[in-house]
Amino acid sequence: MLASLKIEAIGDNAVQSSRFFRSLFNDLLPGSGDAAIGSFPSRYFVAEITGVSKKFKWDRRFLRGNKDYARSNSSGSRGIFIYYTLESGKIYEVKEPASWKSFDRYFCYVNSSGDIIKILESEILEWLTRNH
Amino acid sequence: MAYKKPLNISVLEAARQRISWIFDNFPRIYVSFSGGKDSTVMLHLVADEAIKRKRKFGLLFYDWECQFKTTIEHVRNMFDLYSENIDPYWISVPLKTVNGCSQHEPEWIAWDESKKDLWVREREPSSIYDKARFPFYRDNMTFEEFMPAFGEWYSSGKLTVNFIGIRCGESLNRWRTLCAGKKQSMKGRQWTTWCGGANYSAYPIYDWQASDDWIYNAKSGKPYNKIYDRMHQAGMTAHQMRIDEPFGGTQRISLWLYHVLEPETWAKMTTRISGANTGALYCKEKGNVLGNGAITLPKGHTWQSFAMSMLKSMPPKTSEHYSNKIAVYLKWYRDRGYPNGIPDLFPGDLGGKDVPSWRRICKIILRNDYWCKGLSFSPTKAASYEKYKKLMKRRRQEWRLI
Repeated sequence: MLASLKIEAIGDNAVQSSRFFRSLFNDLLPGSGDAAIGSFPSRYFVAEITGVSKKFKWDRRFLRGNKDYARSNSSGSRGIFIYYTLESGKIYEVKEPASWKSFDRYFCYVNSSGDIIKILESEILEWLTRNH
Repeated sequence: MAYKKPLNISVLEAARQRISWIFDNFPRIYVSFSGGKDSTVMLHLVADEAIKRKRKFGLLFYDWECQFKTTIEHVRNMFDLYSENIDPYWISVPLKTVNGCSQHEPEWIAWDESKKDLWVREREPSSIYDKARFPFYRDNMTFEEFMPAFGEWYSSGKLTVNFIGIRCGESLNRWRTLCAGKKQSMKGRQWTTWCGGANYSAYPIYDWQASDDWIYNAKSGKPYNKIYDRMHQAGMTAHQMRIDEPFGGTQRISLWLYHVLEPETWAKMTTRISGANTGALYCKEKGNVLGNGAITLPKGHTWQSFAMSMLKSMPPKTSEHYSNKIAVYLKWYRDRGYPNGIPDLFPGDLGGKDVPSWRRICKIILRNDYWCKGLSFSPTKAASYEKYKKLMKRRRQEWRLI
């Protein structure tokens, strides 16, 4: 079964414009965009946990979502929603903005009726061993 | 470029596989049903799968008030037949849609409470007509606004699919809807389309031909809409037969069928909808009557003066509506290569490309193309229309174009 996970991309306009200018400067003068603007940790993501990593703790495969601008405000700072499709039998890590400053980060899976169930990080290893 | 890839299975088997995949993966499912041949076949296929899996699905039918009695009987039959496996949504709340037959009433409202004494028939007792059932409903809502809002409401945040029985073979536009590369689909399945939010549309019979519907009906022995038998008796080919809202710009061409197939329904429709009889009489005519095919310029006129005289002859409300659209069109081209105004006639304009000319404007007026789709406009949101009119009044004073 599949499920849809909705995340509001708060401040997406700032993320997109910083990406745009960084790549523009990098194209004009290689490295200048990275030096001037730098990179920021992603404000939101959904990733499938594929295994254990020594470096990052978990091996992850990042998902692409569908962006829905139907309820966006004019600047694009609020109201942009991203819809990710999750599959049952897999485990996911989610980072989503809860407000401008705080984030919600959790792990979840999809049950057979298509509901998204949150789990604790401590349960992941057991879950991965049981399901793979 | 899209190519046909043979699957080496029958279209029936392919449709069943698609439906089965949807049932495997989507927690919420509903079928958009019109009572036509395609949606009936699709409903049977979806219901077969639902019965096999002991699952329920939503069955959505919007009742247009002005419909063949035979279609309504067929829809009733289908709701009864699958009553144990469906969440029924036979909807008869008032919705607005285009009337391509009249400039006095360019839009009409099905189940309009203020015209209750003129209704073509009574509402189906089991239908949903209480607007409060749909929290997203507002007055003067159009069909095009209602349907996606219904999908969002029905999904309640869960991944939802809406089965739609359309086929690529019906028209080039249908083919584009289904096979165009620029769309987001579910897991690369081109016969699905993301509609925003948690909603997808699925077209399991997209590769069927009209003849496949009839082969399925003959072999399965399942019920179909008997109006098609009468259409056949009226001399229509399998490809010409279709059921739709009756008065739309393209749909009006089938109005003549009503007085042939169901004269008793037609008699009521003529009193209910402004211009219905005119539409039935002239919708098949080519030329200046309803703008079908080539149009000709009356003597002593330029295309611009012809357009202006038509605008003057319209009811003021309709004239203002068209003038607003035309003003935006003229402004667009004034800023993009036509500072002295668009030409009267664009040499070689056969109507295929959107090249600016006053002839093109005349054509959309003659066709009663209320939302000016022929000038590449989209319908204005019903909720914002009054605001739009005020804004356009101010802009037109500023632009001084029309």
